[in-house]
Amino acid sequence: MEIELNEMKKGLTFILIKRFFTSILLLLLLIIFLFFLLRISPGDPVQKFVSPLLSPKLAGKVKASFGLDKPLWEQFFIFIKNLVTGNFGISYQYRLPVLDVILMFLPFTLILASVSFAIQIGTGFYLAFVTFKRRGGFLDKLLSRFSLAVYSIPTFVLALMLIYIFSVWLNILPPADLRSIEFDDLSFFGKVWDYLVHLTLPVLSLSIPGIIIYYKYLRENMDVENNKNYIKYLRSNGYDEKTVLWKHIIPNALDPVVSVAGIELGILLGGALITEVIFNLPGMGRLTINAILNRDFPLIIGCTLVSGILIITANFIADLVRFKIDKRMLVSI
Amino acid sequence: MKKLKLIHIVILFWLLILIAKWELLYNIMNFVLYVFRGNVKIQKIDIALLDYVVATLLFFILPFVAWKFRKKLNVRISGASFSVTMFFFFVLFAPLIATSNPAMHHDIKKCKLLPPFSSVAIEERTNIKISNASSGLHEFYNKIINRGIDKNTLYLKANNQNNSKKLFFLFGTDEYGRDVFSRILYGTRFAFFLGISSVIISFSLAFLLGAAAGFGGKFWDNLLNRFTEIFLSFPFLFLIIVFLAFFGNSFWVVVFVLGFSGWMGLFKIIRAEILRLKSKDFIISAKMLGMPEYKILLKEIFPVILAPVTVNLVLQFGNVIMAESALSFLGFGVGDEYFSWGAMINSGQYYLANAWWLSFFPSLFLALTLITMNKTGNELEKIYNPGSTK
Repeated sequence: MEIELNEMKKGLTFILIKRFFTSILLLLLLIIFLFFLLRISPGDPVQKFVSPLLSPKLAGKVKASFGLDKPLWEQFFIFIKNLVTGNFGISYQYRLPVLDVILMFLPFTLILASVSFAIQIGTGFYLAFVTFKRRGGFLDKLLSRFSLAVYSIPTFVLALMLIYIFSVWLNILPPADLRSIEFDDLSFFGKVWDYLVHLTLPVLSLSIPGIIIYYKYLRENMDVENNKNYIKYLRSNGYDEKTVLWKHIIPNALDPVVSVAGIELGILLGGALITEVIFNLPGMGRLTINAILNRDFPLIIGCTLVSGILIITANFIADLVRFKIDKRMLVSI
Repeated sequence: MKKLKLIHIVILFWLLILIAKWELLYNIMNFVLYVFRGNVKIQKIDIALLDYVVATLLFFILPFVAWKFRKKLNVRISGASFSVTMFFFFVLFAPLIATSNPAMHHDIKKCKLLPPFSSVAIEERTNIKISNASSGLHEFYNKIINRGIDKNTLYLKANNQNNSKKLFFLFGTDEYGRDVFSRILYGTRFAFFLGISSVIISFSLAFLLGAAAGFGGKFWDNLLNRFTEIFLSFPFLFLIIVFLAFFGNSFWVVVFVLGFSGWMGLFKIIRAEILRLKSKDFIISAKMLGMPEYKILLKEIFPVILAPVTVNLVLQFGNVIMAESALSFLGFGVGDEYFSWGAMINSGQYYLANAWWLSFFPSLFLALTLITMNKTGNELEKIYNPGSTK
């Protein structure tokens, strides 16, 4: 028995590491693909700073400073060399190393993602448990009827609805930005309050779809498990509801929810693109969009790499959690 | 309400259009007869006019089609089937239902940012032809199409005051005096056309790859499977935006990009189905009889696969519409010449404080479409696997 378990563990680490490395390999392939896509695309990033018609000499100088004057294979060679040493180049737009620029924007995204992820998980699971305990109750009927509708509404429509209700109609929350104009004059608690007030709507519009997703998945799986024979057997043998729920139904219902959670967390960490654009927040999503719009090649590749690594990590964590819950997952991979 | 059948809804919509727009229908039919009699030869094909004519002909063919399928339409109405019928009418008969030309900038002094359910009296402008080719054709033409700019006509103010007509704006007007309702109607058409073309691309790609994975042996199967799994976990919106921002964004580019980014889920289902079907008797006997592999794929497997995939296709259709409106909202969409809901919501958000209807109604239609698609997918799934508890 012990030997079998050891072998399983070995198999697990092997499989997980293999998965991790294939993901990293794919990310590298994606970045190389992106590198060539950006280089062969029409348009010239130099034109944003100086027009070649105005002063060809200066334009040439700027181009040389970007490293775009060399032939493509040489650029690629330099790019790979820099990638290995951890140097992503200098952003055209900010005139700073790409990693420094990303580090300016990353903390906000991390905070926003983790807060909204916690809210999504907490509220979604709570709703699923409550409605499961009182099946056929008012809340259950309401949620089962409207969960599909809420789930279908796109994020930007939801965000605009929230802005209209809370900022235009009720006029109690600010519609955009991270802080108010008089932020520097506020006391410490005033500053905290200011952040809270400004972040309420973005967090809400990020969380509501996620809450519904977790609720739906968990509730459906709980219903499926609840109808199975072994649960009926346990009930008829007189086990109390609490044991049945926490020891049998939930662990079995959790598996698909965790893999969904991994994907969701990855997307959140990669930057809540639309929410950040609507609410004008300084996160990774908006940084990426701005980099794309300004043809800031090193920054685009840096952003892709960082979000890709975050996504892979999130999926990796989800796999670990799934294994912790159900060891049979080894077979399914 | 319980006895309400789908066919009643179809008849109701048909009669509503007939009653509200009989004058337009009469004019178009007259025009068609005029052309058919050979009184006049059409030099060039006008897309807008053709649109009106085709919609009218379809409108009069519809009762016969409904009669032919009367047994299938004789089912109880549900929310999803009601809205599918509604969207069907919107897509087919958009020019007949629309209250004005969606690109028409009405008199901006009177019609700018009007609230919903407002009607305005506008002085009608008489049309004076410049070109010499005077014919009855032109008369009909002007009766049918209410267009913003016509190169051959010159608009003059009428001298007498009585010559005013009333315009009714169901969903109000936008900042250029365009009718929001008509724009949304044409937006339905655009969204459905885009969704269908992109889903067809996704499906053919997924079918090809699924066939390669199912018939190509273990190596291809493993490779494609791994590729798909990793692709599934990447957010594609970002790559789509890179592509659209750098390589231009025309309609077909958007369709292809969205089609190419949506094949993964379909591929998984098709591959599983092909692997399941491969060991079935009818495939083996077809193989024994000497049917070539591509024929087995097209004649034996394809029809069987279509049923379980339909659910996924419907959901994918909704996803594509949502992705397109998100792209348009961000400004990476197909451009201004198309009536995209996302673009309407985007331009409406700047007027959120004083003209809520600009972004509200397109959002409503978008959400309604997505809800309908998800609901239809769920109902189809219930039909195909009655055992599942969803």
